[in-house]
Formats: sequence, C-alpha cells, structure tokens
Amino acid sequence: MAYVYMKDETTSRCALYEEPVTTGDVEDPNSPRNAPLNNPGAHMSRVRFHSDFDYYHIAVGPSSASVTYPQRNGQTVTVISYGVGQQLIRQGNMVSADHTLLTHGLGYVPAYMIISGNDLVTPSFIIQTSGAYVRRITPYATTTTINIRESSVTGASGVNIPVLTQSYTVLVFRAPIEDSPHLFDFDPITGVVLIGKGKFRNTFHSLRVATPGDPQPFDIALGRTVDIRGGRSRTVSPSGVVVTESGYSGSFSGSPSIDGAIS
Amino acid sequence: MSFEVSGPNLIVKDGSREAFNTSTPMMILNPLSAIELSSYSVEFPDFWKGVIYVQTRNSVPGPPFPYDEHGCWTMTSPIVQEWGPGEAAPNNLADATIGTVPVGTQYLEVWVNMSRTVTPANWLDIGFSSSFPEGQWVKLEGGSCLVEQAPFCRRLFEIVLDGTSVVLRRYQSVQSGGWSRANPGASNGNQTFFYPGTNAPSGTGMTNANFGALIDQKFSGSQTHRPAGKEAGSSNNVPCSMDVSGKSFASTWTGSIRIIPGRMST
Repeated sequence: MAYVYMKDETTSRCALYEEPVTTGDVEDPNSPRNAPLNNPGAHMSRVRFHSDFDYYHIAVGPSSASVTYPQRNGQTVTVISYGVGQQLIRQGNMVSADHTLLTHGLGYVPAYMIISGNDLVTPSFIIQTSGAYVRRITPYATTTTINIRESSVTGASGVNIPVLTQSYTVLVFRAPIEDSPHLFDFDPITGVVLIGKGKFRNTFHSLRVATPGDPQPFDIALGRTVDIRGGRSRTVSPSGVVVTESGYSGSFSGSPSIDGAIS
Repeated sequence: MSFEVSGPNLIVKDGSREAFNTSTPMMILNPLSAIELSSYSVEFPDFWKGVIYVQTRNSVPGPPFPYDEHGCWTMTSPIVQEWGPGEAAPNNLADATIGTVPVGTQYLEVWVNMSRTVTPANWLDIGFSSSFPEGQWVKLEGGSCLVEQAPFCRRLFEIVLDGTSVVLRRYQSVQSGGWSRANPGASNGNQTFFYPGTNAPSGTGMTNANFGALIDQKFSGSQTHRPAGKEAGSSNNVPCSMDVSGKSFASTWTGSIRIIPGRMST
C-alpha cells in the first residue's frame, strides 16, 4: 500500500501514513481513509510522520566517549571486637560513583542513548562480576552532561574488582519543538525540506529502523533487561548478551528488541 | 532532488543521504498520550527477618588472676526470600497499573527522577548503597532498573507494557544466608542463637539467615550477656536487646515519572 501525505489546515496537522481503509473522499481530511491525520494515536502502526508526534533527532553526536572504572577494593572490617577472638567481621563493601561521559551544554535534560558495541546500555547493566563482586552501570542525564552511575558490591579484602575501560557511542537528541509556522516547506535553493512546523528537516539525523548496510546498527530493548533471584541478578542486553551474577537462580532470557540506526 | 519515490515508498534526501524513507521508519513518540506522575512512590516492604544473638565469653588467664570477659551482639537476620508479582502471598507484590497507552505502542520512553525517601536499615555498619542516580533524570531503556543492592539482597522495579496498560512491577530477593536455626541450651561459653522472629513465615523462617543490621552490643567483665532464659546460672545477666523496631529494611523511592508511548514499525 502506498503512503499518503495529507494536511488539514483547520486542525493545523500534516501526516504521512498508510491509509487504514480505502473508503471515503481522498481529499477529505476527516474521511475514514484519512483517519490517521486527525486521530494519529489510534493509528500509530500506520503513521510514518505526524506533526503531533516527536522524533529522535540528533543534537549532539554520535560522539565517542570512554570511561575508566577504577579498581574497587574488597574490604574486610572488624565491626565488633571483644577481648581475644570475639569479633564480628564484615567482608564486603558497597561503592557508588558517577562518571561524566559527555558535556552537551543544551541547557535542558535531553533524551539520550548510550551504545556499547551494538547494544544500547540499559539501566543496571552488569559490566563486571565474579564470585562475590559485581559492578553495574546506569546512564542518566542532566541539563549539561550525560553521565553514568557506577554501583559496585565488593567481596572481602583482596578480592578486588579490577580496573576496566569501556568505550561508548553517545547520542544526544534535540528537544522536540515546533520552530516554523509551515506544515510543509521546500526551499529549492538550499534543498531544505521542512515538514510539520519543523518537527522534521531533511538536514536532521534521526533514529530509524536499521538497514543491512548501516555502519553501526544497535539493538533497542522493548522490555525488561534485568532480573533478580536468589539475592543476585542477571542482565540481558537488547541483543541478547547475558551477564549473570554467581548465585542467581532464575531463568530470565531477555526481552524482544528492534534494530535501530541513525539516518 | 530532495524527494524520490521508490515503489510505494517516499524518500527525502539531504544531498545523497537518505534523511527519511517510509520503508525504514523513524522512531515515533506520541506525546499526546504521555503519562505524567508526580510524587509517585515505589514501595518495597521489609524483609522477613529474625534476630541473630551472639553470646561471647573469653577467659583471661591474668595475671593477677583469671577472669571472664562476657559480651553479646544482636543483629536483624533477613532470611532467604523472593518477592514479586508472581510470588504467592504473603510475598506477592501486585502489579500497579499506572496508565494506558494507544494500541500499537511498541516502545516506552520512560523517564524517572526519584529519590529514596525511606532508607533501609544498615548492613552491619554501613548503609545500603543506591544503585540509582537519585534526583536525576534517568531514561529507563527497557523499563527495568535495579535500585538497591547489598551483599545479601537485590531490589528492582520496572515500568513495562502489558497489552495497552503500563504497569509498575517490583521485585526483591534475599540470598540464602549461612545461618540456620540455632537454639542451643544455656551455656557459659560462646553461643550463637537465631530467633526466627514473629514475622518470619513458618517453614522458611528457620534457615538460611543473613547478617543484617546491628541492634545492640554489650561487653563487660563483671556481667554476663546471655539471652533471656539462657542465663546458665548467672545471677548478673544483662541481655542484648532483640528489639527490631527501627531496623526495617523497607525502602521507598518517590519522585516523578514520565512515559511517552512510541513505535518504530518494521
């Protein structure tokens, strides 16, 4: 089925979509075949662009960044000691730290995606684990930076989490704004195409479905990526990389994902 | 040209680069159907726990004369347990529906900005670390996030699609610890007792306890510090407290949640 571009000056909307039915006046923005134009929420699977919707357009990046996570030492601490041999000893520690990946300077908290290999970095993902220790990371954003929260549990003294350097590709997205009065505008001199009051420009680089020739496709999770059982956790990346803490007793195998890329 | 038609598809170009192609759709987000929550609380209940009571005695040979040092310490002792939406009562944590999204929603852009407003009791002498960047905007790709981890436990919440409902699910899990039920008789020597506690479910409360939060400790050379009923003939016995009030491992995270339904059709 071909795609249809329609606009409705009354509702100040434009859209590009597959018609859900072939009945009704093609010129009537409120006919059944044009229902996605003025009721886009009910036709999300058919809409390819709608002026009411938002999109992931790159504001900063793709940028390369790396983080060196320092060694986290195990710890053995005497909590209580009475006389000779009467001791309560703690073996292990909990450590959290923040690492700046990128300064974006946008002045607002932007949407972001952090790519490692061909996976999005998902919250709480385990990057190191062995025996009694685990180190996991969670990305977050501020009005100026994109960061990673590191959280580790260590074992006893001498059982250290070794230093680790990881490289990432950081995508920071524009705040979706309408910055033009035009539903559609084409400048033949500059070649710039503007659709939906500026929600789309052909100069934008956007998140879209990956194609076989894309240089760096990455998997986007459509469901949970962490599970806990037995007092321990397992993370399964969007592409299916499984990292399991010793002692985890569940059977989590991950969630569906889709392949994305930047246009 | 900036436009091309290829079969049924429309292509918009920027020079030679395909900026848009209906055959490889952009991710769309539908802000008209966004779910906004403020001052929303994600609550995790206290763990099932008892009390570990450690009674100590150390004989000091002198000089000038031999004497005994007596001590005790008590700790809350979380037992092995699993909580979640699939667990039977009393460990069931029911799904909380926090909104609905349109048919066809495939992806959720989930933003959370939460802080811990109820903090769990310590693990021995140190606090539960937060695995979550408190007071910051976190984009939950996939919807799940482990918010707390201590050597004996993990806590997780997720905000995920269930049909066209968006549900909050909570899980908490405590490992099988090394302390089984111990209720030895009165003794003058070193002894460790495990009292399952009134909130430990029958059948599971007797075994596999972990060290939790310190409750009390005492040490002296003139008094004994044995549990009540286990004085072993001592006429000057001052037990350590086994009062677990104020030693809850419950945790609450409160803040803002924003969910925007999306789709990237294939």
